[in-house]
Amino acid sequence: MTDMPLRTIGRPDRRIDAGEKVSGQATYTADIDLPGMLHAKVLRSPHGHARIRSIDAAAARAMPGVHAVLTRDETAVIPMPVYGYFIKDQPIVATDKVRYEGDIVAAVAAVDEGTANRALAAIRVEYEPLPVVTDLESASDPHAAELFEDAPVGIVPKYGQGASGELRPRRNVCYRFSYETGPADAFADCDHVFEDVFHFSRMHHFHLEPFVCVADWSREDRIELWTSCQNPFPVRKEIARIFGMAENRIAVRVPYIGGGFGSKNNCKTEPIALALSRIAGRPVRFCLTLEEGFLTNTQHAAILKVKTGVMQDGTLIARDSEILLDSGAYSDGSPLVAEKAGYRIPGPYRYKRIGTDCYCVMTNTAPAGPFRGFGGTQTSWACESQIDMIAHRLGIDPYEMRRKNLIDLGEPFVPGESGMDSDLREGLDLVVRELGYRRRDELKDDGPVKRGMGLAIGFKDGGGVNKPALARVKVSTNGDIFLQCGTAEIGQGAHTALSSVVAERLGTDRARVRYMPVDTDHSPFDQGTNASSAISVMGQAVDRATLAVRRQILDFAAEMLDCPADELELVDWEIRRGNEAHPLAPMIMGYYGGTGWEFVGEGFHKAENSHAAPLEAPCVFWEIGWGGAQVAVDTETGKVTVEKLFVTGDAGRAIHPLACRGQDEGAALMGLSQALFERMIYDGSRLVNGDALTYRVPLADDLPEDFRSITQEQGHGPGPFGAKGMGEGGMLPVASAIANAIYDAAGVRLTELPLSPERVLAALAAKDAE
Amino acid sequence: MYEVAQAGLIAASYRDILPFPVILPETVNEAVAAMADAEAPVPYAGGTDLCGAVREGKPVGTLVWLKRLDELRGVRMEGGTLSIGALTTHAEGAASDAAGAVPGLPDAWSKLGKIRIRLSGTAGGNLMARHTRYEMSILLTALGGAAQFASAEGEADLSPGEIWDRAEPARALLTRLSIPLAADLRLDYDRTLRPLMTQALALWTDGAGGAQGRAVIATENLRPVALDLDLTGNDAKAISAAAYDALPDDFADPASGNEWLHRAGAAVLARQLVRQGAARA
Amino acid sequence: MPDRLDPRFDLSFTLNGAPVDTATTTATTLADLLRDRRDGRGTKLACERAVCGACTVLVDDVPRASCSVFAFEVEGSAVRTVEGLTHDGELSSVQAAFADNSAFQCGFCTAGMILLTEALLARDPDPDDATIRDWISSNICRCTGYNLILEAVRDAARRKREAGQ
Repeated sequence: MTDMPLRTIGRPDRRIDAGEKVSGQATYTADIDLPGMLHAKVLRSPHGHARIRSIDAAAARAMPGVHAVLTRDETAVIPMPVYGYFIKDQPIVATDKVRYEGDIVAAVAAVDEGTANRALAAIRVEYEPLPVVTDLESASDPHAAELFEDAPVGIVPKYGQGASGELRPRRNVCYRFSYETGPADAFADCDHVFEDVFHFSRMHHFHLEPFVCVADWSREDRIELWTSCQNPFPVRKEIARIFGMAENRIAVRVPYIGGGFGSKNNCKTEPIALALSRIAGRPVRFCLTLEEGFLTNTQHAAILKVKTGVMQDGTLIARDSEILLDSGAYSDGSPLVAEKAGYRIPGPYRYKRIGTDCYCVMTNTAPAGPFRGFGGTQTSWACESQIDMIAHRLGIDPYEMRRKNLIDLGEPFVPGESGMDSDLREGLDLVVRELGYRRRDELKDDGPVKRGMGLAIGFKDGGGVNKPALARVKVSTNGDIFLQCGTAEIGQGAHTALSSVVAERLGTDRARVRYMPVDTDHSPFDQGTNASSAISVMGQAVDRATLAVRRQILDFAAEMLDCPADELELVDWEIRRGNEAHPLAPMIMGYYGGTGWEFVGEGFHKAENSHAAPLEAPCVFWEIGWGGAQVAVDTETGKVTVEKLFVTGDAGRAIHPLACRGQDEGAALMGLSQALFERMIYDGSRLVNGDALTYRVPLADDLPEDFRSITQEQGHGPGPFGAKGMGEGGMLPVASAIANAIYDAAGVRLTELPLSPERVLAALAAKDAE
Repeated sequence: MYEVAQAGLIAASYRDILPFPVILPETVNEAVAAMADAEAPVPYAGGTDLCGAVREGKPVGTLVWLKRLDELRGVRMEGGTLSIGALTTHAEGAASDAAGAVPGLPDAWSKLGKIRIRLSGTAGGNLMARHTRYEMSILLTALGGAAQFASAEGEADLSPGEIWDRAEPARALLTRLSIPLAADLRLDYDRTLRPLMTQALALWTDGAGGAQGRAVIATENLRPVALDLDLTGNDAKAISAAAYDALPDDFADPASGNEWLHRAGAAVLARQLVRQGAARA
Repeated sequence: MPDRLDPRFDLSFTLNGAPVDTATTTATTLADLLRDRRDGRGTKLACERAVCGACTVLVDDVPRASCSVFAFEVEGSAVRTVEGLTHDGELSSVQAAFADNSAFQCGFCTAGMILLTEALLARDPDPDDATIRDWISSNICRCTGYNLILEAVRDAARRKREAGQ
């Protein structure tokens, strides 16, 4: 290919979904309506933990308008009525016990939601309440109640160098992930060893489109499912296993998704809707309320104990950590989050020794699962707070402390891993410049209001673990392009970015590319839309598929024109050879006949398996979020005002710059709200603020006066045109940058989120008392 | 001191509501008669909260839609009293000339809710939602105001606290909020710590020319608590500290403990007193 | 409108300029009524308690959360939804500004944000930044971090002024 100026990549043009989304034409799962469709609702447990003595649903079954009732009596005939990622512990509806307030006990499909709810109200359930487990640290005590007396079916995946996993290592712990490299006695050589404990709060994803699906199993040998789901192929596999159905009988379709942030992976509404549809013989829509979303999936609260050995000059030597993740009542994605939290706790720094144990602790609260950052948010909070704490203890500027220890460009994160693909110091220096960090001594206090600045570098491995991706590009006689792959459009702009890659490689406008609907019957296999993998993993498959189809087209033209293919160029569906232009359509019909032809290219990508890599395959790319904050701390009320927030990510190459910016800023605002106020508040096993009115998410008037991002394009990414993944990094540094700024301003260190006025004031009082 | 609903045994939907008759009275008398006669009557004004209330279990038998009761719209002076029609929207109220009779009231009122809510949410609906997150009760408590109800039994004036206790007569209709205009009455509403805490300060002059004041502290989970001020002494921090001695020890919620509410509330109050020139820093 | 509505009644209003006469019930919300119509699903439902504003429509030019407005309330009113903003395939200035500024991601809040912006600019063609922030704070966007939305509103105001709208 000759070097031609790029016509699509990097342009701030309209996303391909812009027209549909601003005109109300975009279709989401919530908008799907089938003839004869019923509506499902569920009955939930009012107890945090209880044994079910009896369920009497006879009255509900007899009610007019009710077409199906699902209780443990009905699920008993389903081949494997439990689901989960590594551990199959979540029943479709409760069988012997309920394990959190909101656990599903029964479901009804009726002609409308009102009828379904009235039927649910007629179901009688007798419970025998049991003691609840809500505290992470005492959950494994011998006297603590046990959520699972018997071991559910589960697996431990194969791990590489230094990593290991274990099911049920202790009471109420469903999974442990451990990682170790370097000698345990490395601490002995350190000038200082610092041990600190950090507490991480719990948020709900608060995606606006609810958990929703429409399931049609009215024909025995065919399942059709529309679902607001991030990973249709794994869901298809799970449904096949649960119901004993062949995968080629199950079609999972994913329209536009109205937000997910991690929550919409794996089974949520789907098994209940399918079971009801089978009983009723009609399509069933199951749409949760937003309040029920809080009871369906959440972020992991965590306690992180971090022990770090360091030399007097600030050189990091060793870090051992113990992490407790609050996994809630069912394992969901917890073991996978544990892998990542355990793996990411060192941060982007060089050590001689790393040792981590991460435990998934079961509690009688809503199940926790994937959430933007996937363990990296928890670890960045602890890591980047402690780096600052150590710097201050050693009398070193936190900026210098970071610079001294950061991994170099190209240096492996740990033995067996891929090299760092961003210049970490370049990003840090950008934050320092944009924030005015070096002039922070000039910040003026305002009576009781103290000002300061803080920095942080959020860090995670990106692109998923051992993630395969397949893409197909078809081009019709007239040069109309079909892009088929399984990446869902969840708002991140993946359909635009992937279409841009295709258009660029085929020398045409992006308007010629249509991203085909995601449908497991037709789309090539994909593991899921998660882990910032769309451009970094699927992007490579799409790029290869496009280059493959381009090669076919040029080879065909070369044969037709009787010349070497390398003399030819493809531009706007014409073959250019020097000054000649040959339209392709007549050439194609001349050879294939008047009905024309489609060229088809496929592209595959997967990181090579490697036992040297701790997670069995080297990381695809490293997702970094650099951040800095300026705060004003009111020392009389404890209120923290973030006056400036600056975040920057490295897109490698920004395929669509506005989409990149939106991802970083959206992520940063989630980080800001977690830092300052947003959290699920539990009183025992009861969620206190699980609704839109009392669960506070950030609004436009919560933005810092100066809130900006810059998308770096360092160019070292593995994706097409040097791209890296985006979308999670911007969240990672924010909470610790703000905590570090609070210390800079007021001399108090907060180690628990959120950084509420109450905690700030208590810390100030404790400092005054010293 | 706070109440939390059970974690949704059934996720109620407004689609659970069975269709109901709607009555549109032209006058307050007609509305009162409808409230008295209809089956399970529910008065309906701006509509912001009813669907939420239904989802929390409120039954609707007959809807008494107050749309035509223009006499309950707007803010006016009646003798020495500021009278606020229950159907006055927040946007109308904050922009009204009459509300300016209490300096600080228009500004405070203009901050309630977001603009989409302010354009249709009403003063009366805010009060009758009895939601601790809503703020009209805080302002009315600080200003020593009352709420007027009409029912078949006659009229009744209730304090904001009595509304929390649901002490109004059965099937009564809230008609007006009234604020007696003490000399030099003014309001300072501090929302800088919202939703954890907000505080309204009312100041006025009594018949003997003495400065008087009342502070009301509220959180999004707790009913407002009024603290009377002794403004002699002129030291803002001392006045505030003395007032806060009366804050109940159980004034705390899941988001904030008593100690912080006490300390932060006192600090805010001292600033409000200085800002209003009622005491010196 | 009569002094009393039966549980089932006939409703008349204009939707995006066109008259609508339909039988409905008093318990039907405006959102459900709109969404049950052909091409009515641009109005989204999320929190269903008037907080998030995803379901915002204009009733006589006032932005209302249609999840919490009963259909009977719009008798005789003019209702505008996102479907009514596009004319002959051409986006309104506000829609175009949202599209060009990528002021959306998942798109679920977008119709509500756009209608909120239409209402703001009808009242104040040249709003300052504080006013824009105040208005946009009525609705929730979980994706964008709001900056791009605020920029789209400023851009929309500029486009409307330049077009003399």
